Amino acid sequence: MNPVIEVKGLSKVFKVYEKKKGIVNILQNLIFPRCKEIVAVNNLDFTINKGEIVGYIGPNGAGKSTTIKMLTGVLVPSAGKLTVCDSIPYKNRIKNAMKIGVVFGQKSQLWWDVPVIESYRLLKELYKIDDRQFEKNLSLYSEILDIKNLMHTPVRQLSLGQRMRCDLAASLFHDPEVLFLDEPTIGLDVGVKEKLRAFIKEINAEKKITVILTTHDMKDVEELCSRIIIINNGEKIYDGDLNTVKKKYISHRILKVEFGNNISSLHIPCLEIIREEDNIKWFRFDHRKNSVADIIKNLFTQYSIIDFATTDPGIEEVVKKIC
Amino acid sequence: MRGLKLYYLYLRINFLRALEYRSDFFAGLFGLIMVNGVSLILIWVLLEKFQDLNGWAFWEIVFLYSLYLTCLGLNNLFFRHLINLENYIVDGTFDRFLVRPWNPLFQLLGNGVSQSGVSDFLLGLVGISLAYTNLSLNWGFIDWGILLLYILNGTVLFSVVLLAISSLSFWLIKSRPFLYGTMEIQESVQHYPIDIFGKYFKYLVSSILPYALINYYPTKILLHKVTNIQIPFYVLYTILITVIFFLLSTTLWKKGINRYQSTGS
Amino acid sequence: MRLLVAFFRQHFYTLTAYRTSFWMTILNTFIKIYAYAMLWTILFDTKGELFAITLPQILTYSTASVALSQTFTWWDGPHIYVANNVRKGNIILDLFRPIDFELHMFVRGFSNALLNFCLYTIPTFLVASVFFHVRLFHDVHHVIMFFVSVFLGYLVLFCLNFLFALLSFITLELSGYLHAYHGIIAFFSGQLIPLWIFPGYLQRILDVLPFKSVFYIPLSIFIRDINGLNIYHSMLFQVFWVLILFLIGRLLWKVILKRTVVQGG
Repeated sequence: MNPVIEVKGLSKVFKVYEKKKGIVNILQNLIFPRCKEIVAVNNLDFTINKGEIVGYIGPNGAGKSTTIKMLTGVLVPSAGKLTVCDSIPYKNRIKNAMKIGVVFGQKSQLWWDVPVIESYRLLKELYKIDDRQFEKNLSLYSEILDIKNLMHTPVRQLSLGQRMRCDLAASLFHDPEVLFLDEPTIGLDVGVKEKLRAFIKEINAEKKITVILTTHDMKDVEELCSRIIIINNGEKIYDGDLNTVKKKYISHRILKVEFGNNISSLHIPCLEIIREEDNIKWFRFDHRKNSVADIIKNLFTQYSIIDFATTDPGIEEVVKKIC
Repeated sequence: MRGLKLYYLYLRINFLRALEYRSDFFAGLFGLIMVNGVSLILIWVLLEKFQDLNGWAFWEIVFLYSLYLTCLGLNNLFFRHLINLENYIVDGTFDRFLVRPWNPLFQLLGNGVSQSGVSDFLLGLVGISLAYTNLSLNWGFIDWGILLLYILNGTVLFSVVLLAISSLSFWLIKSRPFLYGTMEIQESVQHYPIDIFGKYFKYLVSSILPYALINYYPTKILLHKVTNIQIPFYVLYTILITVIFFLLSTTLWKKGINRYQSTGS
Repeated sequence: MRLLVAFFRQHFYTLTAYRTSFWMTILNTFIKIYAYAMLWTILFDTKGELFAITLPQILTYSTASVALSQTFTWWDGPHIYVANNVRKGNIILDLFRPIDFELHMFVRGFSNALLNFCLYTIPTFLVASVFFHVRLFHDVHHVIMFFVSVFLGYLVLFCLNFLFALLSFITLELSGYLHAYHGIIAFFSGQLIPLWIFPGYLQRILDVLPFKSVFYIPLSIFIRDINGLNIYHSMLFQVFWVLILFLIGRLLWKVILKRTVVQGG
C-alpha cells in the first residue's frame, strides 16, 4: 500500500467573536471582545492510498469543507499532522498546489469572460505543463468530456453542466496525484452527472489519480466510491466500504412486487407496505430476521406474481441514521 | 522570470476581457476630460482674478495636477483592482488563489486592469506637456530623470498605500470605505500646492498619508522652487517613505494571509 | 406625504447599514470645508482688495456651500435614476405607475435631501462654524428668508435635473455628458465660487440663467451679501425659473409619453 494522504489527530478550532445586540453589549465587545471557540474538525485520523476514490460525506456543517481546505493548503490546522504526497500542504503550499487538482462545485476556476481555451493556456503556464503533456491531455479530455466545441466560448455563456465539464478538465491538465472534488455534481441534471461520473472513473482507472469527493448526492457515492468516510460534528464516525456500513446501519430492504391481479389485503406479517401504484406494491422488511427466499416463496404460493425485485435503501438512509 | 511571464499572461487575459466589454471607451474619456477640466477651469478662474496662489502660477498648478493624474492613471491601470480583495474574500475566490501554485499577491495583482487608467494617464501626460510649453521650461537629462523617477515612485507609492488599505479586508470585512475616506485629502493634494493648508496638513500628507510625495515635492524640484542642495534630500526622503510603506503593506498582507489561513474568513 | 415618510425611512435604513461610509462622508466633508477655508484665507490675505465681501463672509459662504452640497447632491437625482433604469430597460414600469412620474421622482429625491440635510449638512456646518468664525443667523426674518430660498433653490435644481433626465429618454446614452452637466451645475450655480469672481462678461450671462438660483442666491442671502428688498427680487427670480422649468418639463414629458406610447416602448 502506498499512502498519498495521511492525517493524524487533525483538528481545527475557529475563534468566533460573539456578537450581541444592544449598546451595552456592543461597547463591552469593543473593549473586551468575547470569543467563542467552535470546533470544526476534531482529532481526525485517516490514511488514503494511491488510486482510491473516497467519498467524504456528512451533513451540512459537519466539517467537510474545513478538512478539504486543510488538505489543499488553504487553511492551517490548529493541531495534528497531515501530509499530502509527502509534503505538508500549509507549509509547502505551492509545492502541494502542483500535485493536487481542486474543483469547487459552486465556484469556477476558469476566467469568466474569456474563451475556455484561454484559461487552459494560462493554466498550462501556471502549472508548468510542457507542450506535449498539454496537447495530449487536451485531446484526451475534450474527447471524453465532449468539450471540443466549447473551447472558444466565453465561460459566462456556458451552461452549468458545460462549465462543470470544462472545470473538471482544467483541474487535471497538470496530471495531479490527488483530485479534490467539492460538490462536483451540485445543480446538474442527471445526464451530465452520469457523464461526469464515467469520466472520474475513467481517469481514476487510467491515471491512478486518487480522488476525494464531498457530495450530497448519494448516487455519486454509490457509483464511484470504493470507500467512504463519514463525519459529523467534526468527528469521524465511519471509515470503510459502502456495503459494510449499509449492513451495519440498514435494518431493512425494499421489495417491489408486481401482482397479476388487484390485491386488497395481504397476509404476510413481516411485510410493511410503503407505496402502491395499480398492481405494483413496495414493501419494507427486516432482512436480518426474515430471509428473502422465505418471503418470496410465501408470496408465490398465495398470489399470482408477475415480477419482483429487492433493493437497498440509499446511503442517505445511513447518513440520516448516524447523524 | 516565470513570475513575469505569468503576470504578462494574466494581464493578457484581462485585456481580452476588457475587449469583450469595450462599450464606450470614448464616452469614458470624454467624462474624464470633463471631470479634470472642471477642476482646472476652477483654478484658472481663480488665478485669472487673483494672479497667483501663494506664489504659484496657473501653469505651475497644471503641472502639479497633471503629475498626480499621471501616477494615478498608472496606478488605476495596474493596481486599482487591489481593492477588490474584499469581494474575493467574501465570495471564496481567494481560496482559489491559495490552491494555485503562484504567490497569491501576484495573482491578485494580475487579476484586473482598468480602462479608465489609460485615459487618466494620457490626460496627465497631455497636462504635463502643456505646462512644460507654457512655462517655457528647458530641462536637462537630470530633470527628465527626476520626472521619470517620480512618476515611477508615485505609482508604486499609490499602489502600496492601496495594498495596505486593501489588506485591512482580512480583518474588517469592508476596506473600501477607508479608501473613500482619503478621497478628499487626495483631491486637495492633487489640486493645490499643499502649503496653503497649513503645516499640520503638510505633515500629514508627507508622512502617514504620503500623497504629497507624488506631486508636490517633485513639482517643487522640477519647477525650481527649491535650492539645489535640497534636491537630494527630497529624493532620498521620498524613496525612504516609499520603502517604508512598501515594507509596511507587504507585512500587513502577509499577516493578513496568515490570519485568513487560520480563520478562513 | 405618506410616500415621503416611506422613502425617508428607506433612505435612513440604507444609510445606517453603511455606517463606515457615513463617517467617511462626514470626514470628507470636513476636509473639503477645511481646504476651501484655507484657500480663501490665503487669497484674502494676499489679494484682499479684490474681494467684494469680508473674510468671515467668504468663509461662511464656502463652508455653507460644502455643507449644503450634501443636501443638494446634484450628482445624484432623477437624471441618474432615469439613466440607470433606461440602461436596465425597466423604465417602462415607472411610466405606468399609478403616481405621476415627476412627483414620484420629486418625493424620492426630496426625502433623501431632507435626510441628508439632517445627517450631514447641519452637523458638519455647526461643527465647522466653531473652527472658522462662521457667521450664523441675524434674526428670525433672516432664517425664514434663507430657508425659503434654499427650498426654491432645491426646486430649480430638481427641475434642471428632471429636464436632463428627460434627455435620457431621447438619446438613451447620457453617461458621457453627465460629468459635463455636473460641472456646469457646480460652476454656474455658485457652488464652487461666488459668481462675482468670474470675468465680467460671464457674470452678465450667468446673471440671467437659472443656475445661480441653486447655490448663489441662498448662500448670498445667508452671508447677507443680498439683503433688504434685493432678497425679494432674488426670490422672485427663483420662483420665475421654477415655473418656467417646470412648464418646459411638463410639456416635454407629454411629448415623450405620447411618443413612447405610440412606439410601444
